[in-house]
Amino acid sequence: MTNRIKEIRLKTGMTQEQLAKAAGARRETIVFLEQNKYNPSLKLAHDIAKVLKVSIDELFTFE
Amino acid sequence: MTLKQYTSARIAIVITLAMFVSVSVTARNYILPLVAAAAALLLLFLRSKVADVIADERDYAIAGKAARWAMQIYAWAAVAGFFLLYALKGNDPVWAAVAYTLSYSACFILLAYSVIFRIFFGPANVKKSWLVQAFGIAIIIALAIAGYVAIEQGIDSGIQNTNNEIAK
Repeated sequence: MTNRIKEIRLKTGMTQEQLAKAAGARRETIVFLEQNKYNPSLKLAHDIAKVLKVSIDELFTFE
Repeated sequence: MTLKQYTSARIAIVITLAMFVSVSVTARNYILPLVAAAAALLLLFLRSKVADVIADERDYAIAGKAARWAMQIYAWAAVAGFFLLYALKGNDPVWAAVAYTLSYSACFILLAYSVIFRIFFGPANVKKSWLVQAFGIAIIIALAIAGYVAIEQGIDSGIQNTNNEIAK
């Protein structure tokens, strides 16, 4: 599974720390997510999508 | 409280705890472990006051994986240690006791894992935090009983010193 978290986060002007705090996760988790080294749970995916104001489908892609 | 403040407090409490435990072992004072238990409770209380995210789902997933690996490695190491020490018990009878301790501890950890797994396998709406609280209370009660027994039997060094001073 790949994602566009970094791309959309940079568009919104958020830092990893800000995104992590808003989504209720740690910054290290956001780092791993952006590097596609970790697949989030549905809840975390939903929370991140909500913070970035996009849908989960726009954010994550199953290959 | 921020995560940084909590981390500093945790380090300070752990250092203090280590000092108390080492002193209690060398001085054979059985009251000090109760202080250690109180310090652990304080740490838990402080943890609940941290506003930042201390651990998220990834930390819990890794912790679960690490715990399973640690349990498996310990179980196998304990079994190997049991056979080795039991085979060499002729050199020192104490090694047989150590071997039995290792084997029983491996059995206990596997049994505890099975029981806890079964509990968490239950309905998701059942609160599992009572398990952690019950275990913590059981530890404190065990330490309190051990300290009371030590005092009653006069094993506690503090009581012995007091008795010696009174006898003088």
